[in-house]
Amino acid sequence: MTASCNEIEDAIATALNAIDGLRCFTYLPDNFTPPTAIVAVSEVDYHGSFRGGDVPHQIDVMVIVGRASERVAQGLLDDYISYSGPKSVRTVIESDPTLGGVVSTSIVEKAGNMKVLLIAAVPYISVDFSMTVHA
Amino acid sequence: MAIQVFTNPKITIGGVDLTNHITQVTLEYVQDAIETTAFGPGNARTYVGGLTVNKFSLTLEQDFAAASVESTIYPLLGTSATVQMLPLNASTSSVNPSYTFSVLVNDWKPMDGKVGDLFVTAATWPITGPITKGTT
Repeated sequence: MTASCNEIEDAIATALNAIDGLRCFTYLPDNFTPPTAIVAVSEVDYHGSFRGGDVPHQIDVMVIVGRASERVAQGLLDDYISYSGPKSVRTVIESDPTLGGVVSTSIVEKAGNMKVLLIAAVPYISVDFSMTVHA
Repeated sequence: MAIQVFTNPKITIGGVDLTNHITQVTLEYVQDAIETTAFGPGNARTYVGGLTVNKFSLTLEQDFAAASVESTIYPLLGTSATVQMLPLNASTSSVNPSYTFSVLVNDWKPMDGKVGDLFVTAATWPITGPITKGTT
């Protein structure tokens, strides 16, 4: 049976929580302490193959870091967007593309759109990751 | 039965239902047109039907698990296999006809893709013998 959106988001969050110091949410929290990742399904293609055999989900992961020190923040984001390394989002997700057996396979396609966020008048820096999950 | 969106067919190959790994399928019936044009008052060519040259094409999401795509298709290479198709995953009827035929599995690409893409492969197999359409 195809995993639900909640199950997929939870599985990604579980994988990302393995990154030391990163707190991952599957919803937009009222309060958070950076570094934080927010996972959301942005698009579902219900008919990737006949009879629901493949349901591709587009997933957005936003990683937010504090901007108290710009250099530290930039360095931390670089760790997250790196191809490999202990804090690499791609490495953590693709080390088990089935996300613990919840989906058939997944891939982190790209990271980008680094920008400054103002949340409750506090500046943060964020970067977006694009994933495809085949459930 | 009315028109329908093509989402829930039944496609078996060698007796194995691979429908949920298939993303595209075509059953093509083509008969040679043998020209019979002769001198006469008319100005149009005429034809009679000759041999059929039927084909079955499909695109699959590759899967190396047991009883799935690769383990079903690969052992069939170079042999004939029975294929059955129904528009809906339901009993054969006049509005859900079955098409049964043998294909020569002479084309297979176990790996075909580019980096980052889903593992998908396509094949076209000639149909050997007639296509049997069932309505009951």
